[in-house]
Parts: sequence; structure tokens; C-alpha cells
Amino acid sequence: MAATQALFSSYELEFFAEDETISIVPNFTLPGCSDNTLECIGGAYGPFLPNRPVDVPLWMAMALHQRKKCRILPPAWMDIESLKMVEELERDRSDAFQPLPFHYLEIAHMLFTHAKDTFGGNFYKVHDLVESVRKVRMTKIHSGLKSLAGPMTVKLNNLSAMECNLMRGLFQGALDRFWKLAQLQAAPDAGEFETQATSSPPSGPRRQFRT
Amino acid sequence: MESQSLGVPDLDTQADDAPQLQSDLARIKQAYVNEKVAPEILEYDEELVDRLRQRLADQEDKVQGLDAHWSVELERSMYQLELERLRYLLASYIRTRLKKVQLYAMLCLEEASPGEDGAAPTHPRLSRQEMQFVQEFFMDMGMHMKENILKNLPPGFDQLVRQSNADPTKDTMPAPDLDRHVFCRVLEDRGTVELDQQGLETANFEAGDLYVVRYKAVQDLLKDKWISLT
Repeated sequence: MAATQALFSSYELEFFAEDETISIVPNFTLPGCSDNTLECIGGAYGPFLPNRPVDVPLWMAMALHQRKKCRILPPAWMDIESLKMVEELERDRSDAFQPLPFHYLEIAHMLFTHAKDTFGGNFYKVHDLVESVRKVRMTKIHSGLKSLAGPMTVKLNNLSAMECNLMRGLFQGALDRFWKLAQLQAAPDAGEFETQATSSPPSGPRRQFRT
Repeated sequence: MESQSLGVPDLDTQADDAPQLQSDLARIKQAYVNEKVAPEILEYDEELVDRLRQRLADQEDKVQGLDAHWSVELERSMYQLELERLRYLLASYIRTRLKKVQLYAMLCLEEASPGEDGAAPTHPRLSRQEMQFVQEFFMDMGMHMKENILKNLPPGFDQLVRQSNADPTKDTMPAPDLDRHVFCRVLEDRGTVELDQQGLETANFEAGDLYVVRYKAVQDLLKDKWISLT
């Protein structure tokens, strides 16, 4: 199994993440547009007025920021207090992942790389917190992998896009193989597999990470 | 080269669907991700692709018609950026499908039902253009193999069809592995779902849940849009 090769590249995941909504404070108007609003295919964004916060997709925020046309407001989940809480809960509850945006790693990475000023003086604090949240979650995923022991369906609520993509090969490889082995065991004569004791899932049918 | 072989969209299928403005982007994105993750070729979303193509063309016209004045430069670049993003998504969707079509070309042809009165054969999940592509692809591939390999083999071994028919399970025909495990997200509450034929293993699918599950077990749920792949 190609465990090392991810299905999506990290660039592609960033591309997907760029459709997430984020608030910006523009410093311009759009005289050419009616109502200072951009009529895009994905929806209408605006009105863009100086010092009036407005919600736009991340790609637009990054593009405007690059042109020095706006200030990006840090998303609520990247607040220091809430990140601290998430980190704590993430450590305390070994059986569950905390709800974070599906693309939290990509969003964080893009903001940290291209829009540092979003966080002002808190940049390093936020950066470190996100990093430690990521590490705690990664450790949990790895210990979760250890618990795979036979053909089963795994529930991984709140796992993020990047984490799914990273772990895909390992999960897939292990589970595919377990399933095949179970099939062989259930039907040694290669016929239709029928209800046989050996084909039933092992004692713990699903590892529940729970919500 | 690949996307060109799909020809021009049917312009007359354009519908008045203003309320769906927001979701077309989400839909093509999901269609692409589903296609990429699923082992088999999924049903072609002709309606979505045609509408999106039309919408892209309309938007391009709009951007073309914008003033050349510097004050609209910002506006123009935003529109253009979005256009490029959507074009990429659309192309990726089609490209991912074509990759699978090439991989499972023989299976596609096998599954296709012959058209009536000499019409082109149709396939339940492929578009007309994809079907045409797979036929041409198979012919070219077959010719190439014949020229370079089969021709040099001793008589008796030099026919692909004969080799293929030798085994009742058609083991020379690549087929997707439907027992592969996939990451899927539950879109709507579905309640208890049976995950194997015996009904020994079940799971409670609630909206927002994320599962790693055998593709075959959720194949029908995906078709009916209860779940999406991730």
C-alpha cells in the first residue's frame, strides 16, 4: 500500500481551504461596482467600505492582503484563550478530537506564512498553540492506529482534512488488509462467503473516538 | 489535451437556477473530491458541469466588458482569480474522471450498453464524450499493444481476446477494488446503517460524523448523497 503518498497534495488542500470564510477590514471602495459589492460565481461579497469588516473567502482575503488592501481579522478559533482551552481539552480527553475548522491547519499555515500581521504581537503565542494542538492530535491519531485490530469501521469525528489526508494511507492499508484476511478466513474454499463465526467482527467492532 | 476531447458544452441546457449560486462551487468541489477518493468511476454530473461552464462563460464576458480604467483593476483581478479557481476545479474533476476511465477502459466498454440502431453505445455513469474517448482510447491502446508485443509472440498466444476469455473471472481486466476503505462524512442523519451483508456490523450515521469505512458498504449512500467522501 502506498502509505507514504497522500491522495491530495498539501497545495491542493490549501486550495480547498481557501474557500473558507474569513473576516477582513478593507481600506478601499469599489467605485466601479454597484453597492461596492463583488458579484462572483461563488456568491456576492461586500460591501467593501473602509474600516467596515466584511466576510470574504480566504483566497480573496489573501489576494487583497497581498495588495495591501485589507487587514485580516483572526478567526474566532485562533483566539489565544480558545486555543488554550482546545489544547487542554485535547490533552484531557484521549478518546475525542476537539471540533476545529476542517481546514484548520491549512488556514493557520497560510495566515502564519503570508499574513503575520493578522495576529499583531500575539503571533508567536498563536503559532505555538496551534503547533502544540497539532502535535497532541497527531499523537492521538497514532495511538488510535495502534488500536486497529481487525476488519472494522472507524469513527474519527472532527478529524481535519490535513489529518485525514496524512493518515489515509495507513488506515486504508491496514483496514484493507484486515478485511482481506478476514474474507480468506471466512471462505477458505473461495466460494460465496456465508454467515460463519469467523467472519464476524472482533469483539470491539468499532473504535469510537466519539464526538 | 484531455479536457479538449470532451467537446463543447450544450448551451441549451442552461437553466434558471439563481438560488443555487452559492452551492455550485461547493458542488463541483465535492464532486471532484468524491471522484478522487472513490475507487470506481462515479456518475457524471452533466447538469452541474454544463451549468458551470455556462456560468464561467458569462462571467468571462462580464470581465471582458469591464472598463480598462485603473480604478477597476482590483475588481477585475478578483473576478479573474475566481474564474481561474473554478476552471481549475472543473478541469480537475474531468481530469480525475479521465484518468479512471483510462485505467478501467475495458470495464467501461464491458458495462456499456449498445446503442439502438447503430447509435453510439452508452454507459450509465459516463458522459457521451467520455464514452467516445474510451472507445478511441481502447482502439489505440489495442493497436499499440498488437504492434509492439502481440505481433512478436508465437501463434496461439497472439490474441488478446483469447487470453482474456481463457479465465472466467476475466482477470486480465482491471477493475476497481470496491472493498477499499475510504474516509466519508455523513451529510444527513441516517440512523443505523448495516455495514456488511450479514448485518453483523452496524454503525449509527449522524450528520457530521466522519468514518473510515469500506467503500462497498456506503456505495449506495454516496449515490443518494447521504454521505460525501473526504
